[in-house]
Amino acid sequence: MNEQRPGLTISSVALLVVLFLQIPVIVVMLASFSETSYLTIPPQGWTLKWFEAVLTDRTYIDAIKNSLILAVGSTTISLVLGVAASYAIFRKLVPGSEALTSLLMAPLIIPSVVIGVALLQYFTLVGMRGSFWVLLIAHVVITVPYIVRSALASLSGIDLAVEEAARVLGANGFTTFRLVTLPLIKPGLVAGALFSFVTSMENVPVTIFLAGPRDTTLPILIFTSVEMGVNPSVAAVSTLLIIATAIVLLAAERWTGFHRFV
Amino acid sequence: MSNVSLRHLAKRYGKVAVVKDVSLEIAEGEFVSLLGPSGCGKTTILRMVAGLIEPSDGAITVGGRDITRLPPNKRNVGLVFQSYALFPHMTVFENVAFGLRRKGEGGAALDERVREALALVRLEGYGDRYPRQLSGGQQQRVAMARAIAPRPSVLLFDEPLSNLDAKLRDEMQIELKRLQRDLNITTLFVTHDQAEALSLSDRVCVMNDGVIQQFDTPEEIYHRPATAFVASFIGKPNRLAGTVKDGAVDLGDGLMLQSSGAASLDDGTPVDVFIRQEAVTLSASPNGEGTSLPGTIVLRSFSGAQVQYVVRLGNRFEVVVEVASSGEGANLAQGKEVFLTIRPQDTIILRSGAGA
Repeated sequence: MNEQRPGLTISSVALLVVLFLQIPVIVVMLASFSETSYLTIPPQGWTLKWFEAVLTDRTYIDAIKNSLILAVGSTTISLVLGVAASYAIFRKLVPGSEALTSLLMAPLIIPSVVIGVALLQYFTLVGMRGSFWVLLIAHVVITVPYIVRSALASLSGIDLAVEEAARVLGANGFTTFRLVTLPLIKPGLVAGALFSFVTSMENVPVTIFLAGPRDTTLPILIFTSVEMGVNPSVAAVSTLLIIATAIVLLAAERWTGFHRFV
Repeated sequence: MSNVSLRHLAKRYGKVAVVKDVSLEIAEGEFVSLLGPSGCGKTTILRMVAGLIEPSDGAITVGGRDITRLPPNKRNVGLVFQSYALFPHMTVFENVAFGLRRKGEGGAALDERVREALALVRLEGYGDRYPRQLSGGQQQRVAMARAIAPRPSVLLFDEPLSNLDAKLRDEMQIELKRLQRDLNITTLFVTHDQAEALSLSDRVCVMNDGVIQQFDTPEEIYHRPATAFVASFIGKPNRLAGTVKDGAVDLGDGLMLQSSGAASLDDGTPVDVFIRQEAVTLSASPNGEGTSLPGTIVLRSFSGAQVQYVVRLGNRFEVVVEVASSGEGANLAQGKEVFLTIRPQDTIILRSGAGA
């Protein structure tokens, strides 16, 4: 018996689990090629017309555009704020670092629906409801924990002496951060940014409370189309989303080997 | 002019004083070691000189310039860390160039200065490597090159050799000494390794509990320790407690030890006598030179160049004796009655309780 290699049983179970987890993805992808005007598995016939329908439909294009703007915008803002906050917390530049960390991470634990309702009430009170900026702020709130988590983890992996070395060699605080700290935490930040991006891209529960009629995002659009009756264009847009995500993840892994930071 | 002077330097964390009123004058080009057990405040002093810790009290001047409140990047000091602290994402060249670039160096002049620094530590041609591709000793040398490249007015070392294995440590010690002599940079070297401190330094500052115990040449520190702490910290001395009687030391059990320092002390003064392991000779019969005390060999252990004995002396003392394994008295059996001969000038005598 070779105990180093997993047995047949373990391997088959692992394979089954992987398959089980991938079933929804496979189902959606298959359904998007069906010629029928309703979702069905296995697909009847073989067509790309639903993809064409999605890519020529203004509603979908606008929703994709909104989603991308929101995801890029909120991730960028979260990166700036999250990294700054994490650095201050990690270097104990501010009092109450434990409490601050918990506060920043809270959106991960509080149910999204609660955050949605709370933000809706708040923005109604201050009279900003329905604005695109409200949506952006909301997405920063829900994406910042991913940045903070990966930034704190990356920072704790740095030898403090490396920063001190830079300081003694004549670099001021900002130069030290730019030339030493930031490059060293970059792989972790890429991972955090990806999570942030995906979180913003797929968010329904918070967005649905806050999105004005012109600010519909892709997941909201999919959600409402499903409510109104399903045709395979929903499956097609989902397939596009899955492929795009896969490409981004593969590229990021190639560039940074970020799986170590997940 | 790059003499360093510390005046009444102190560091307190809340009520805990880590460094208490330390004053130290280091001449230009001098190599000074701060030696002491962990927690004695030596690293804190080094970090205060580097500007990484702010002193609670006192002043630090380098070449007459007060740098006490300057940020580390304005001090022009070089620091070699225990962990080397190389920039892992930069090549050796960029590591060494880092300090020079901060001073505005660039182009051919920069290349030349980096090459020079790498040549000094004998790492020519390693510029394109990354720190992770180098051995511990090579990383150590890059750290040194990086520290000396910007021509600092003071070089600081924080236990730089403690992460190396014994053989490499000895090599680096010699290299470091050569480098410091060639560059003639004022150097402050922190270590807990006495052999390192004694062999490298022009002067050694022995510290304990945030206070300077003795600041003197290695020879003085070794042969004339000022306090009991220094006497017991340096070398591996035996400590025998006794009282002064008729210009000698009464160790009890009828054992009288001649000690050159005892004559100046009053009868009845309680003293500690320190005798280094290698200062005792063992013989089968009493030897003429100095005091000969009878004892019994309890243990013999051979360790290559030396043989160590544990010898019972009267009822109160066990003395460790080290002799060269090729010399006289290297083959005495366990249980044998022997005579320990100690020359009066090889004893260090201090009043009991003097300086801890």
